[in-house]
Amino acid sequence: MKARKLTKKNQIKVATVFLLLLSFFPAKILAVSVYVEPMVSQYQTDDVFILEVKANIKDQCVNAVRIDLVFPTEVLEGKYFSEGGSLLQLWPRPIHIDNERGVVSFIGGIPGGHCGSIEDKEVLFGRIAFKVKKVRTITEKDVRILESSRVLLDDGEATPVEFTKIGGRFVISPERRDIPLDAWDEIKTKDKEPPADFFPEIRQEELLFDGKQSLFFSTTDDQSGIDYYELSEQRRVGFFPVERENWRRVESPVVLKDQQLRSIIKIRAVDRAGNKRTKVIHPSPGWQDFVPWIIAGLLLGGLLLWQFKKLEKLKNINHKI
Amino acid sequence: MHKRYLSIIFVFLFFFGTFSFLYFLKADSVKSQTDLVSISDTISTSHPNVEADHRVRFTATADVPGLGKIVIKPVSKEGSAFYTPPEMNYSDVALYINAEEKPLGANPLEDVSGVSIVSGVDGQVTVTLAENLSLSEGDVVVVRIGGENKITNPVNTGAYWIDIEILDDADSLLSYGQAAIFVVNPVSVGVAPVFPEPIVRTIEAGVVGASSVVLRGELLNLGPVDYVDVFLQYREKEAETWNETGKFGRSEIVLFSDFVGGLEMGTEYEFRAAAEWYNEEEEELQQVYGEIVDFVTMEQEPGEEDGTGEYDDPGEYDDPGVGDGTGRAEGGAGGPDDGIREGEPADPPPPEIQDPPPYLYLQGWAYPGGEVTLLKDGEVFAETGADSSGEFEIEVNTPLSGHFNFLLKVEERENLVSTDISFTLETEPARGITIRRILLSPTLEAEKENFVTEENIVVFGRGVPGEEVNVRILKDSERVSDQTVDVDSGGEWSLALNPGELERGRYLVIVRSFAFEEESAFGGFLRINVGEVGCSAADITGDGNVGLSDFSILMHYWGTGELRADINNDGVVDMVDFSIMMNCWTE
Repeated sequence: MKARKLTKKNQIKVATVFLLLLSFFPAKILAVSVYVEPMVSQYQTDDVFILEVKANIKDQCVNAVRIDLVFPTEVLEGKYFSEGGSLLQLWPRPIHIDNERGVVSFIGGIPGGHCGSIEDKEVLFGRIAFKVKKVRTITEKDVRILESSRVLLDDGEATPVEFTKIGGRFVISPERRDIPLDAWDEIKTKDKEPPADFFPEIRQEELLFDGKQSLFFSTTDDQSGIDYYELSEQRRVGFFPVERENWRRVESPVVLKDQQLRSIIKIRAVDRAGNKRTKVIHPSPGWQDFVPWIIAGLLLGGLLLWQFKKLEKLKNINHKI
Repeated sequence: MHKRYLSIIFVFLFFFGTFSFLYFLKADSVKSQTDLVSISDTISTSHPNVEADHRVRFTATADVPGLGKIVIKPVSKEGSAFYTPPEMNYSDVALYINAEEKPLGANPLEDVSGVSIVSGVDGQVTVTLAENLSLSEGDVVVVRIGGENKITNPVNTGAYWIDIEILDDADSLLSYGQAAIFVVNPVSVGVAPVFPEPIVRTIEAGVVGASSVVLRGELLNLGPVDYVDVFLQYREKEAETWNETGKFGRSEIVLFSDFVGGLEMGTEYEFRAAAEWYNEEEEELQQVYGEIVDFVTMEQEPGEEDGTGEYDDPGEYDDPGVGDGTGRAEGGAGGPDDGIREGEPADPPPPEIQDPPPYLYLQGWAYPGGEVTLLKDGEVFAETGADSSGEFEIEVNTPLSGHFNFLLKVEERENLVSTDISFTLETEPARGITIRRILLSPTLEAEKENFVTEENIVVFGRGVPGEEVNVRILKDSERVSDQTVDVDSGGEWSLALNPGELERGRYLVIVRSFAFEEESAFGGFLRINVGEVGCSAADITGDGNVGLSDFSILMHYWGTGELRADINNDGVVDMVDFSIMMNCWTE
């Protein structure tokens, strides 16, 4: 993401803003901080920029995070959320960008937790792509992390951590570039890697979907993030598919259409750059899988026998001749 | 040509079908949580009131994270207990995982596992795995206890138990098992009392050629010593001096032989088996000999058959029989040295052979109709059945010599249930071991493993008729219930647990028999899960909402078997629990 270089006049403004921002901080600076990056920047109409939500957790061990972030709807439009490269691996709720209220909310977790260290560098929670709306005059607006945000310790008791919340301020100018900045497109262009390998599992759970056969899956993508998952269930006969792949978008867990598990199941994760990783599951074979082979074997055996007898007959005729 | 093409196609399709079949047979394995298997404690000596090394071995049946614990606890009996000396420390303990030794220290560190020892009569040894060391299901773990300081065996003979608990890093019980130790006082049996000296016998020469022969002998008894050198002596008939073959050290009864070449053709020779040992009292090497046996070399070379070297190494002694061939007493072909130790004028008569009492006698109780099998080092050694009172007896009438691992197993094939104990014994050929009053644990079953809270839970099984079964229920290693029920005359017992007694959670049910003033080891090891239905299980904090706090606890216990976070009670906190939580999310 490239921000435009600030003029001297604007540098003074930004410095003022920064001091103002600091004045919002609590008297005691807490060890853990959650902040956005860039904290201060300037964009023009129609630019698409990335706001990264980061944290410095110092020496704490954390495992679950809820971030509620408000943005000025009069100047910004939330476009996308990317978990690419995030410390958070599991997302129990869909990420919600509310462009009417100007709120982005996400909840994520780290199985087994993550412990930082005093020298630890920042960690990334997520990235939000905003598009700058048209303004008439130079406008300064804040993005704030709400008090409802929470970071929980990995202590088995879900103890909340007190943390410093540092928002950002943006200077929006009414000009428009010939080719507006599109940081989101840059991320997508650079992403050539498919999502991480994953291991989907078919399970029957009494507590989910009345115990129906369901597919559980999850993976991550370090660059642009996972966009969606697709599932295909192809009927099979004799181990081979007898119909075309029929992809449908799904979320984990998903109830399988074929509860008899007689299909070849394919699940693929697609990242926001369109890279895919597909996993194929062959449920255990049933007697039906062997029937075509048995029939084929019998037919071939019969055919061979018939050919053999025919040859024998020919030999006998030749012999007589 | 058609036939050839069709054959090729058929063969191709056949192999393709076979390959496909094998490929698709790879069904997903189902993880199950059971208790420790292949559990044993081998002790260096099973005599009472002596120090012994312990080698505790088991196969892990659950994944154990770093800082998990292996707790080894000898169980005391009234008035008789194992004693752990206060001087014992980590240097007296060794830990092996899949045969690889792991470093130990006083406290667990990143790569060093810690050992803590509670001394005294209720001692225990706890190995806390290093932070970076974990156990996986199927890992073979061996803990050796005993270096400079050792655990002392109980004063009284009998069956003793070693409790082995596997805990996770939060001290929750993952697996549990008990190894049996029999402390025995070996007694001489009438058939094979201790002989004053080793006994050997000479066996007919085999594969006699013109210039070579295979000489054979047999070590029948070690006498008062643990170790002898066996060899063979030969000479031309009535020559003055004996030639000797090489000596082989032996500590058990054995058939031995050696190849001898360079003999004269068509010549009469004689040979005898011999054994040499060190007499500590007289501080000198002494020898005994078997009877002298003659052989005559052939007049001419038989060709390739001569000197095959077939017996160039002593073989194993298969079945010596009882008292067979005590050659020293029976004499032999005659002659001044016949069966007589050199320098002694007469040969003392060997002990009289009597009807053999068993070399190993086991008596105990299990349950009526149980099929009793004794396995020695993994192979079936003896079989019998328990009678209508549940009593069984096993007699082994062949000599045993060595250190063996035994498994005494009682099965009821109709219901596919079994109970067993494993133990080690140090046996000697001239001594018999009698173990009485072995009480096996009862069987334990339940109709299912997963119960809804407040559901009636009935456990049942088989035990010794007319006696009692103690049913103990544990949660997180803590005892939550301890009840005793009577076993009916048919050997059946059952217990209905109070539904209100078991709150949501995972429980381990173990049972033992009380019979004939003995108590068995705990057995059964049945896991039952009592759980909530639906989203109440996902509300881990119990605050009425399913949200971030519950999610955090789930993340904390990810990959473990922590009950609070294991929403579907399948023994592991994983993606399924996460999915259920997502499904139940209310915040």
